[in-house]
Amino acid sequence: MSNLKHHSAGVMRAKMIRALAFVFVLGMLAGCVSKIKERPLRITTISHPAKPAPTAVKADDETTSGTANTGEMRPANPMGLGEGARLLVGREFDPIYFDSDSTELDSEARRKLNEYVTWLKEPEHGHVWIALVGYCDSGQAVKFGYNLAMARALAAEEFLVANGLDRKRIYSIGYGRATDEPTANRVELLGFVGPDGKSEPDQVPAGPEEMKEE
Amino acid sequence: MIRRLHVSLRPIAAMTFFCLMMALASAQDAQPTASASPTSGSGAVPRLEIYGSGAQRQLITIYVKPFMAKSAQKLSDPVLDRVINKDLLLSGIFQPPANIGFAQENDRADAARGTIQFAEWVRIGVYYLVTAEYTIEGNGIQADVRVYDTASQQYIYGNSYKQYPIDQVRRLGHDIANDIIQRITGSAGVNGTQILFVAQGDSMGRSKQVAIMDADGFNVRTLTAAGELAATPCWGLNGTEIYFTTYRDYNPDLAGMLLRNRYQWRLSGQSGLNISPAWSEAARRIALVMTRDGNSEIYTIDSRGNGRERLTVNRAIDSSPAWSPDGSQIAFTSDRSGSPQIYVMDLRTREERRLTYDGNYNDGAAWSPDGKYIAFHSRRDGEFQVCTIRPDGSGMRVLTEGEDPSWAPNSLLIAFSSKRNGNSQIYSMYGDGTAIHQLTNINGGAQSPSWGPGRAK
Repeated sequence: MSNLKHHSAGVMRAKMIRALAFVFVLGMLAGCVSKIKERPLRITTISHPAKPAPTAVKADDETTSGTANTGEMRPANPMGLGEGARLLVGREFDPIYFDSDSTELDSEARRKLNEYVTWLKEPEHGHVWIALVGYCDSGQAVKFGYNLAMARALAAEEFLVANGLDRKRIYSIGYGRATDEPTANRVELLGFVGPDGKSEPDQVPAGPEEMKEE
Repeated sequence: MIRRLHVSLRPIAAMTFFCLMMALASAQDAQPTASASPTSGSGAVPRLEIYGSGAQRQLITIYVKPFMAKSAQKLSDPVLDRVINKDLLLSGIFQPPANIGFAQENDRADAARGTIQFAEWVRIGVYYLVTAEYTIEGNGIQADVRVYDTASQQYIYGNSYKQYPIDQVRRLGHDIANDIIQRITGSAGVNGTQILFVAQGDSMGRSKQVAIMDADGFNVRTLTAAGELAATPCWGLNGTEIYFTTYRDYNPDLAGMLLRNRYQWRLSGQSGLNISPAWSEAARRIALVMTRDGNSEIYTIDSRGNGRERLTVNRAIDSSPAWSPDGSQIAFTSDRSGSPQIYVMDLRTREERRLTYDGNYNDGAAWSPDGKYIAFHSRRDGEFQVCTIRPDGSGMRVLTEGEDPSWAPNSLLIAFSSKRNGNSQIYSMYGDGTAIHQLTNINGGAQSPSWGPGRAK
């Protein structure tokens, strides 16, 4: 707990690449648009109130027991690369849809995923990462819905992996209830071009730590 | 003008009589004191049962006379009256007189005679009468409160509430209301406690912020940044921390926050879901859902994110954990039988048993702090209904349309979200599904309430 990191090298690099990718896209657009005002790419902004000393985290350690989870890592989420890295992919993927209450891939979903996995496995697309973003409709309870949405993304992930896509190129997220019914029961597939043509995301910390500053 | 004479043979009589006897028993030492702080009752053990003996529960009629200013300086609006009357209403135990005009008439008559005409109050069905005066001195406010039983014409409770800063006049009102409720019913009031919830952004729709409010719906503040997606907040260690899920790093990570200064830390950032936290003060651990091992499973971690333990091993979705108050069991949702149902796991033996069989979509278990009931929501004809069941699986009741029930610390009230008036908002109700009151009015909607522990006095 004492060695809290604010940024990992991977996130820093991802941010740089994201910025570069955005500049690249801007360059391409420059011919037809006279001036595009640059704006931050991140969807979220984080504002922290005055931060106390990190000792606050350790103020009461009596519940700490068992294995420490500090130091655990997870793959960086390609969605952190931003819109620029998405545009570089050069194609969009239609969402796949589910029946209410279901996490089963129907034949249409399988057909789409088969097409995507073929495309993703082509050597010239080896640097494309895929985020699978699962949603559900408001017929689901809020709590259970997050799990159902995630289970849909994981079902798609398993299908892609079973058909030969390297799991390291896939990142699944459950977003719970979508607001845009009736197409809410879906998994969106978002492609991102990895930095430096890398075929898998860097690792970032997954264990407990101080929240990252913007 | 005909006034119906309400004699004490009404169904409420037995309960009122019992309460009266309890109150009388303690009336001897309940004379107004010069104590600096209000007297608090004998603890949180409720004497009331949310489901009585089966007869229709009757509300106790109480009337709070307008607060009189003894000092030259006066409150610019009757905030004390408003706070106390709302608290009494939200308690689900009390109601104002059916005809407020009669009460005001009695008020004027009492004032003219200089004494309380108890018979007149009994005549209009008022069982308890509260009189109060306040004094403003500098930045402080003091109140003297007396509660009378109209039938016996007895003074049953009184107190002098001193040393309240004028900017905490609402807290003064809550303390007075709590003491009135405690003295008359034996059950702790929950006024002054707080409720966490998720406030949804309006226009773009994607923003979901953790917010907090007083249990009467006042003082709504957001705790997390606008534009960020947050979910499933719960109360944590000693009521000084909260735990919630945030998507700020594009993954649903579990975060902790110190309420005192909003300092945040990450509790768990495993790939996939880190969601639906539930804190047990008894076990001193957080139960939550993670998908790190391939699908939704229940785990526990400590309040600093360490010592992870996996509880469920199942190919189905296991979600929505809720602790028993003694920390020995966890209720959770699983669709292992084909549809979401609630199960209970004994943490010592790891044995799991199915709790719900009625309905084909049950989720969102919440164990009452006294351990007697588990509230949950059940999808019926496409609509969610708040239900209660005993932890042994008996006595299931469908209460009212709504979702995500959360018990008040007195085990009598339930906060929940409901779409009954349009978009989802937070409501409170008595545990039997009556006395439903809307607490929030958030433009984009509000959901996932979590009722905080009792306030330390």
